[in-house]
Amino acid sequence: MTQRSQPKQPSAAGGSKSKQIKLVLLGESGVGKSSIALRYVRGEFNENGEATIGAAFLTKTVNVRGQSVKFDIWDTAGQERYHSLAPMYYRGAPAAIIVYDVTSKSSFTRAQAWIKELLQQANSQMVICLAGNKADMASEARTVSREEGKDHAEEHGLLFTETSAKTGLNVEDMFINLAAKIVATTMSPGNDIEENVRLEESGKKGGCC
Amino acid sequence: MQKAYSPLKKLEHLLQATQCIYQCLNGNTDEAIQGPVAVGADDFLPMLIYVVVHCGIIAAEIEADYMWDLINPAVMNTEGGYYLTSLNSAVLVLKNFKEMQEAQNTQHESRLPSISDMQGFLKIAIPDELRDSIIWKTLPVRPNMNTRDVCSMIAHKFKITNPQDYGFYYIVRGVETKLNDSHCPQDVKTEIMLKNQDCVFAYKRLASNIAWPLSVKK
Repeated sequence: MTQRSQPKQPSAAGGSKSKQIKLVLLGESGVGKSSIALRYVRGEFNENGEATIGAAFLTKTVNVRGQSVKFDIWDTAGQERYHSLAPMYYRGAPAAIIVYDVTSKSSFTRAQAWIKELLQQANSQMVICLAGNKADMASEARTVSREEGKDHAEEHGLLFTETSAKTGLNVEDMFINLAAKIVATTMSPGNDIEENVRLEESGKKGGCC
Repeated sequence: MQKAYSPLKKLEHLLQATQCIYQCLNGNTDEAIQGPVAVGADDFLPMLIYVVVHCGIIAAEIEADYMWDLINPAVMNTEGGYYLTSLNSAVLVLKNFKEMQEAQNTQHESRLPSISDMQGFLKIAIPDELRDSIIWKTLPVRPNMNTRDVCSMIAHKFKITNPQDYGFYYIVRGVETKLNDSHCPQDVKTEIMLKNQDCVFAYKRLASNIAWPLSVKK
């Protein structure tokens, strides 16, 4: 198990608990979902990246407004034929990033479908960010304009940004903004790490019902 | 994984299996130590499905459900939970494989990619005239092999004593075309696939008249 237990903090400190956030990456295959996650977790700021087995699941802890937030990043398979599996991944996730490729119109159409699905199916508290990736290629091959993406995001009350996993543009900011919004919207400390560890230990001990 | 009783133990085994898959991708080099490989879920899920099929875990679904139901929800948000979800997805894909394939055929008139699409393999229909049936074989055919090589390989494999009476054909929309000895079947396949058409290769007796199934004629 890669999960590391943290020393228990006195709760009297108030609000300095670490908050765990499950974040799903959605979007057509090939738009760079995994690259964004990899860039974020392993990019220039490597010190907080914990060791995980593969790139499909990544974690990173950041500090937002004095609160430490641990992202569990769940990558999903974007191929059309795995579409029906997505609910298993985004179930119970408080955050999602929907990625499209600014050089591909079809990926943007797909992203719109994702937005619709998430707004209908997932919990209403979910914080969603629409991200137009491959912004570094925008000058040569852009087919989805920045306004189109921004308008669509605003219409549904989502965060919006254009990123580039290649150059690292806006990637860090996007996650920080997401974390800030989540911290702001959900003040109640839900699944924090301390609780998590305690439950896991008791699970190990028992093993049977 | 199946031997362990505790769901958490099972989950640990699953994570080890996952690690195995990633290590295979790294070609067992030292890179594995350096951290995650740049393989996201786009590629990982199909690979997991492949592994589940080929390692023959019959009880994959039961195992996944067992863990799913017994493991504490808090653990589900961790790496283990992620890969358990992936295993569940893999099982679901395989369970609905046929329906998914059919749905795709009606929606996009296309099919799932198969091994025979790859450069290096060729799916060949070999009519068995004695039994009135068609045997489908996916054989390793290198891109530089010409029709004569392929024919002699098939004749050898299927113990055909009169190879001079047989020919190698490709069929597009029900129309048979004979390939010359010097043609490379893989080149022909690539060409036809580029035109977004489906083609079938057949090794049959020159004089025979085969009633191909509808799926070939399409």
